[in-house]
Amino acid sequence: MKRRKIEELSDEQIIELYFRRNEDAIAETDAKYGKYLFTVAYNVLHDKPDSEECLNDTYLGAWKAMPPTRPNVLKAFLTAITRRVAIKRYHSNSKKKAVPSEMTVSLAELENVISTDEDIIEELDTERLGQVLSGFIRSLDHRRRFIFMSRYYAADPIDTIARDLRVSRSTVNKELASIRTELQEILVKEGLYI
Amino acid sequence: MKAIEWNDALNHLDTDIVEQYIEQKDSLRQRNKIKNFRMRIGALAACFLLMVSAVITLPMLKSAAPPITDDPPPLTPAITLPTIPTIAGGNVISGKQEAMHGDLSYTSVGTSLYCYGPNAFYVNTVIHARITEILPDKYYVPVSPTTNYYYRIVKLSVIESIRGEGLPDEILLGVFTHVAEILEGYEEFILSLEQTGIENYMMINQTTNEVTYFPHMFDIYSERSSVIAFNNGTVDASFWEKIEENKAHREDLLNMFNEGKINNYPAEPGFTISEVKEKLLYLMQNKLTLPDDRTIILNMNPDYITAENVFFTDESKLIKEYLEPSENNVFTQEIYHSSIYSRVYYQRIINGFVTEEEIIVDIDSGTVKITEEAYSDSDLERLPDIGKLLAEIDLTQFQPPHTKLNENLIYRCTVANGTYRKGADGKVYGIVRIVWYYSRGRQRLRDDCYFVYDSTGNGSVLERDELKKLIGNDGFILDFEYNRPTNAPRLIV
Repeated sequence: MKRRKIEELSDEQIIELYFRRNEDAIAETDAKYGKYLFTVAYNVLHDKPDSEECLNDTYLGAWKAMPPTRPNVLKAFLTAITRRVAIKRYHSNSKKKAVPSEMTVSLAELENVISTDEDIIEELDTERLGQVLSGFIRSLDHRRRFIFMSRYYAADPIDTIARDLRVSRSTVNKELASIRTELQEILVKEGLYI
Repeated sequence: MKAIEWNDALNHLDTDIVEQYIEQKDSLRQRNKIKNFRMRIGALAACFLLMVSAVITLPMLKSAAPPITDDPPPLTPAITLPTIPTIAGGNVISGKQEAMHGDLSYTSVGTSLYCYGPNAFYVNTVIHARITEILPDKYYVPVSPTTNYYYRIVKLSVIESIRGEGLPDEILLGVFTHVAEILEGYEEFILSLEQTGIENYMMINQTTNEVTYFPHMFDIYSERSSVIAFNNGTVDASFWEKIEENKAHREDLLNMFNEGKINNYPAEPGFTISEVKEKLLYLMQNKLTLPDDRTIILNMNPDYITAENVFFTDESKLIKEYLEPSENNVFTQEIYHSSIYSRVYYQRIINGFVTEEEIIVDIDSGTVKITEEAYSDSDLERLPDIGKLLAEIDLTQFQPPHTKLNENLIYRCTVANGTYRKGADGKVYGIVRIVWYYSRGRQRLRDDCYFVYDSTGNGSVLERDELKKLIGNDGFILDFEYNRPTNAPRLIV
């Protein structure tokens, strides 16, 4: 029998379990967010065993981080860890073969921003690029911000984004195209377009 | 910039951006649980009432209404449906409960494939077919109080199923009117389809204003490409040329049909039908490849869902009984497949009004999840008749309570809507929401108010915050800011 929503612990209760070094924290995290985090990893990797391993790494990462970290939004905190772990594995996997995941699809959309040529020598300061992207994302209105984050941070399929926003896939595609153009302009302006 | 740098940079986004995104996502999904697409029929039913009812007067609401001014704005009902045979006296589903089982979005027959890239060809259920008739009437589905989607129904004779099994010899295609127009003039097609309805799929005939049920419904698997047209047995590129010439819907059609570029299809002008089929089958079997090798095809589990596939555990069999329709009470259903899970969602509709009770059956495991707000038999016996209340409401008698009206604001319409909700005190309430719509240039302005009725029919007006205390943070309670205009919504298709 699946756990019902009513039985789930609150985020604060789960975080408390981590802080008390109670291993139930992992089980409770998995019960509440396991499926969601699996989706995050699967969007990136398109591989069930790999995604499950990512989940384990996420829980381990959370266990190591809490304490001292006390996240404001547990789900966002876990998402960030899962994404980090999954992305690392994704780039490792993609050296061996093409990964047929939404991440690949979303990266392909960014062909005007991202080069597929891995031989480029010049390396970017990704922390600075992260700051520029943060500024860019803040400049977007709520809807476009959601679309950008869904597609390029979470690698959500277009269908999912359209369903979340209750708009057509065409609308999402159009918004993405316009966001990419604006992004390219910002990157050129910031000297980060290589 | 390399992909790894891009992704690493995204890992360095400010934490609050990620937090806001996650919260926004949760909030949208929570809201969509109520307003979800799958409940289109239910919402539709509720809408009908309102629209039908937005005409007449009713003193019952008056007693609880905001002050009436001497000079009410002119009333333009958003939609009027004078003759809907299945909707009478506030009972949308009288005697035809099973008719609500119609809105099954995203159910596909056979295997669904997803491609991407500039040379994508979307492959889902693929048929070789000819059009036998395009029904003359237009049909529509209301998707919000101010927006309808208009469709034409295309009858297709299936010559061969290239992908997908068990299709009827004749299938129905519900497509936007401008899509139907460009389908005319071709002898045969190869089409990629998705199934949108399995049985009793409901649309409204625009001419007769009658609800019409279709045994099933398909749609063209849109975005990018999915139609190849043939005349005299060979690919006819004029289909794509038509898109360029269609001034009114060019952009939309381009989005649907991959910018109309013939080289984006596994077909070339002059290719015979069998050559196209051969190429298509090769692509599907080899999961690749159009010329530049950038197309990726993701396989999804082939599924065709029947009741036997859904209710196979003791738990779910019990639920099947619970889900049986009774007088004025029915559950809508939606089957949803993803790469992670397959589920059927059921939503309780009472007297045609959507409630918050949802039941989810996991098709893989047969487990069942029920929301806390389950309605008991005794709840169903003691309900305020919001259908009756709505049928008698006179919207001209009400003024928007929070809006400062002035000559720059142009009145557009007023819409009333109803729902049942269980309160924090365990009692069932009928809630009627009235929304006013105004425009000022390209801007739009709304206002709302809420009438809450208990089982005896006593009503009172509650502000949003008060209502939230009673029923929680519910999607039925709108969240726009008063006196703050927004940009014009998307145009009606």
